[in-house]
Amino acid sequence: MRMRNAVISGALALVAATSLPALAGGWSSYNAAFPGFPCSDGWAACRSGEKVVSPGMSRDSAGRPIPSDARVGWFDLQPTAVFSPFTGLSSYSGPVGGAVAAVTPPPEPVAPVEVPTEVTPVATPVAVTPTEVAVRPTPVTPTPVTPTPVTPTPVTPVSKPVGTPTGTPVAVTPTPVTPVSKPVGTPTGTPVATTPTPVPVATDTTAMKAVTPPTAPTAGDDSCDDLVKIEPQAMLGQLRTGQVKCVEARIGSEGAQTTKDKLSRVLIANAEGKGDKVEWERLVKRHLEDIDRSDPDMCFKYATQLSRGGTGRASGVIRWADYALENKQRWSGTTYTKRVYTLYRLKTEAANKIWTEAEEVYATKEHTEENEAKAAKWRGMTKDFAREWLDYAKASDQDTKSALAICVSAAGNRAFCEG
Amino acid sequence: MRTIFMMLAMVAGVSVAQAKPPSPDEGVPVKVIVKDDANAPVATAVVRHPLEQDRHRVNSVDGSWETSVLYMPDGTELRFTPGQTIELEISAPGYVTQVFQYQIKKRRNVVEMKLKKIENEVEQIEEPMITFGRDLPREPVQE
Repeated sequence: MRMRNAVISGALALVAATSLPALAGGWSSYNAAFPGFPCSDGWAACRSGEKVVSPGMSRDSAGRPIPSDARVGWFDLQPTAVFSPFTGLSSYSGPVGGAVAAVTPPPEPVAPVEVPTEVTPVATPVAVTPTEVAVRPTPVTPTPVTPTPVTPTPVTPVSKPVGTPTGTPVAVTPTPVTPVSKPVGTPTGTPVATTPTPVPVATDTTAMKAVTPPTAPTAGDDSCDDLVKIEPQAMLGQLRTGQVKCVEARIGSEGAQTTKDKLSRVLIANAEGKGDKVEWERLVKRHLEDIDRSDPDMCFKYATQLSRGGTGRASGVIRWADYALENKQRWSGTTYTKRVYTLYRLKTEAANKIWTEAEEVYATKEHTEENEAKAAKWRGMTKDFAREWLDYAKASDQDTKSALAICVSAAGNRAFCEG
Repeated sequence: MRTIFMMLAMVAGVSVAQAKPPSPDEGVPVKVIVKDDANAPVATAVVRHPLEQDRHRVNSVDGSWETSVLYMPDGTELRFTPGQTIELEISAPGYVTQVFQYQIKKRRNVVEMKLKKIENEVEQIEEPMITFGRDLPREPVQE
């Protein structure tokens, strides 16, 4: 009997030991209790009055733990610290941490080297650019040159001859030549009187290699060679005037249309980032007119922007909506149906605007045959566009109310539109 | 002589002043006045019979149009007669087209129609993002 009881209790204990862990939930079961961003303004932690809200659990008025994003208590229905969903972003007054970009200061000008006084100046001007000396150190012997009273011979340029010197050759006292260890950007054509001054020549050829440019644009860097690098600035509308000028200059000088396209898009993004609609319109118009109009997104956006204007821009709406429709196959799914529907709608509304104005001019201002013909022409356009819009709306199961109203208004009878 | 002349003159005057009775061949005039919600005449409105080809513009000052006969495409005339029911379509650019039926009375056939403006959709258009230019690698050619 005892043996039997022991076996049964042992079996029960074994079952309990194996089944209980299986019934327990995993960590993911508690996700709702620890929300990642409990604050109503989207922060992970914030202050609301005296209370601090964080992803950990909050407590209700009776001290019971509740999820920190609960707006009211579960048991007492009392408002919690995150009750209001309309609070704005809370300000952060603490120290700003993280990595700060270090800007390399420009190199300090090197003090001129003292020149031995006993050296007689050379009266023969030689057109030698300091750049040549710096860039091509190889012809110079690695041994230091000792100052000898030997009359110096004219030194000819080592590499390709520089053009005619811009300055006038003047025999002056020996100019101290500063050792240059890296290539100088722009060579100057000023003739310098060479001196037998010992020139410290760097013997390490590896040090003479061109220094690779920094990976991040520095504060005063207005170059625009690497477009990918300036794209983040452009998206925020923070391109400097120098950078914009640089991109503009490249658009004017580049031969490849694809490169112009990339450059123009950077400027468009910058204008959009700044919220400068006038400049954005100008740049997009130039892009579409002069560079490329095969991007349906850009045509769509430009047509939408023009549609917000008056009747004077309505013909532009129709034009660019048509170009967008030419390349509509680049869209797919709901994007395709929504945008095509919107484009048909923009065209119809634009034609309707022009027709309405033409009818008003004819009826109330100038009762001429020309105006009558214009009104008739735009009535026909409105009718056709509205019918296209209506057909597409029906085919794609979208709203047909406005399309039908304009179609009937232009056609004069429902039979044309419903047939 | 003088008396005879005066009598003749009076008879002639009476005959001229006598009203001409309406001929059964002439239609009864029907007048349509088209106005908008603000009770202002719609200068650009047109009136049309469903079987007719032409559209008749209203008077741009008072928005009215009046006729007693319509000419059908097959050459027949549709004269308005009392008791007859006619159907007319009123439309104007920017307004919802109205179709109405009217039973013609003996006189004072004046119909005032109000057109409602077409309400443009105020739905926010979801605009696409203009992307930066990127070179795409050419797909390898399968041999």
